[in-house]
Amino acid sequence: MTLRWSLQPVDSWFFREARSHDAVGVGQLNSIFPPPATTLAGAIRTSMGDHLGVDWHEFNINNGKHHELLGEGNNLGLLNIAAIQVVVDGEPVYPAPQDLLKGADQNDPLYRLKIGAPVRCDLGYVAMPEMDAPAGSKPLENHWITAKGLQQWLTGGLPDKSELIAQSELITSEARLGIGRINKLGVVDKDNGLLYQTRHLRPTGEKQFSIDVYLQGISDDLAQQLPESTSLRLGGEGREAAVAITSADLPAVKLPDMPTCKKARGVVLYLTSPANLNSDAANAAWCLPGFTPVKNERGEITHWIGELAGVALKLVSCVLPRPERLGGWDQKLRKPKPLISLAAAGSLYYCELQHPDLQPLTPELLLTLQQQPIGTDTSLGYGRLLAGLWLN
Amino acid sequence: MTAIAHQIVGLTCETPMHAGGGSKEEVIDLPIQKEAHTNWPCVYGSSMKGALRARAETQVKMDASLIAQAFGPDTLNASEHAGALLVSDARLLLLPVRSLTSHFKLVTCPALLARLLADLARTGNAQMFKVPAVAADRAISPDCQGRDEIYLEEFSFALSDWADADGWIELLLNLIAAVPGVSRGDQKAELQKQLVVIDNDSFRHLSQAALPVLPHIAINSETKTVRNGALWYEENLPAETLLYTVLGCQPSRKKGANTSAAELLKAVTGQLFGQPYIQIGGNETTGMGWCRVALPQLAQGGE
Repeated sequence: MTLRWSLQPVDSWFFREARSHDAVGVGQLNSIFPPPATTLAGAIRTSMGDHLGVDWHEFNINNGKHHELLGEGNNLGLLNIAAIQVVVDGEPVYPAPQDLLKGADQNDPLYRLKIGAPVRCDLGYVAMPEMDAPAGSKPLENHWITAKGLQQWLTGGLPDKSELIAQSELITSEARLGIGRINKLGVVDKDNGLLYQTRHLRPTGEKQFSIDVYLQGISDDLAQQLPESTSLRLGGEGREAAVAITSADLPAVKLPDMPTCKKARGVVLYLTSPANLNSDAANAAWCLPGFTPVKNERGEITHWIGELAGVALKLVSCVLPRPERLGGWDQKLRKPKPLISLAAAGSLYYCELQHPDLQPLTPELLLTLQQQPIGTDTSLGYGRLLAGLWLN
Repeated sequence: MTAIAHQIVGLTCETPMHAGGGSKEEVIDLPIQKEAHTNWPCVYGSSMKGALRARAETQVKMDASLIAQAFGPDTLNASEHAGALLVSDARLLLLPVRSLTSHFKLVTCPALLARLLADLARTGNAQMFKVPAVAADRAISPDCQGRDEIYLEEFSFALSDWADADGWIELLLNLIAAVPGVSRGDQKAELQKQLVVIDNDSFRHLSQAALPVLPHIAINSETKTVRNGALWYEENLPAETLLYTVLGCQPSRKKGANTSAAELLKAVTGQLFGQPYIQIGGNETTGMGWCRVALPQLAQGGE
């Protein structure tokens, strides 16, 4: 059974960026969006445990009731987050692929980066994305794309501009000045640094949105003990989310058809969620897991090869936004979690097929590629990808 | 098992309130807190929680264990467990606005009423009332007192009867705390006379332009003159403003305290509001920010 936990903000939300209040150079701490998977997983696990009657002290000390189901830390036990989906006005939206560029003017058209000929650089003799757009064009950061727009993109085309949603249409940033009071004295506790600035997320109300978490691994019996609607604590400063719990199928995006596949040079693997690719020290932190470099006669790296879901691929180039830095708090150990870097949602990996004669590019092959998440901690929803067509 | 219990809390300002928003806005040195997207005045949840904790620690001497369960341990021991209490922003519901037609009017708009219904539904107290539709430059009131026009600040609105307001009046009255010596009947009659609903855009303007902004100075005690540079402008929410906050309570996380969400919420609100008042925001020593508190026990209602 797949349960959909649909979370909506009650007033404001705060998901602190991975810096501390007292770090050098920190004036104001921003909130990230969408909420990190670990935050969502922790909040849902806690709410689920509360509804199922978990005694948390017993749970932590003696692996008490439902420990096997709920797990602890980054281990979600039997639970598995199949997807974390942002939904706007009832329709699923996806992070804008990072090869999409837009000029400074509102009326400027969209452009896509193209993969150029190899150039010599610090990585070796490798193909780089080239900008086939007017100077000043920038990647679409903090934008979302509808399923219709994404289908246009996956087939190698340009999405209609109307299929893009700026994050600023969903949320606005609200400056906060926080103080810690010494209540006995009625003054600010500024000696202990309890004067701080943050920025919360406030829904604009222009468009309704929710964060839908698709959760698998709970039995039908236990699922029936959960309410249809509830509230939970989510993120920093004890903010609340209204929750609707329903049984639901994962949203799907239509695959390109066979004639379009025949025109393609290869596939573009597009991360719809962040991916933790750091587990293997031998692997470059940005690279697809298990892929190894291939060198030319001059000893320069030209590409990387590896397999995903049994499909042999040649990684030629990629377009990567800044990595997401993720920290967090370990509730059981009562200490901060190690800071890690995740490949950001919207990252793109351009691959050719190693054996197109044995494994031709078909809609079925694209489906195979996108059925397995990549990297580690995939039960948190990390490493989900969609496979599109690389036309140039 | 109840994983979260809720209580809506009505807050009627008895004195002006200044919950400071931090940064300077145009000529106002000390603006109040406002929601970023609407600019409606509010009190952020963190400020509300601080006010509740201050009341628990200094005014009602709440049991220390209950304070830790509800609000969390003190800062130095913050990692022990989270507090069980979730405090929403205090949201605006009725704003007193000067009127040439009477001493003042309690003004609201459809968007605020719709948000109240959403908050009540979320807390399991759905009220099936119809949110009135109000066109621009028009106003509706349960008691027009024979007038077809009303002035709010310097703006004139065509006034008409709010025909199906009875349920709304009862609901709003539930959020306005009783006043000793004043009958609920009289409070209801007064609310009916003063309540006005205007369109969202006009309300947005009034919720910024109709707030009192007061100049302050500091006197040099020796010379009895104004200290250099000690002139500032401070924005306040006026007395009679009606706000509400929603308290959510989860089961206690404190070791050894197996208190359920509902029990904890009842104990906390019982101890906090035995005397139904709370001070919120700054300038406590000059008497600002005192609110009368209503804790309505609402059943699902409406048509």
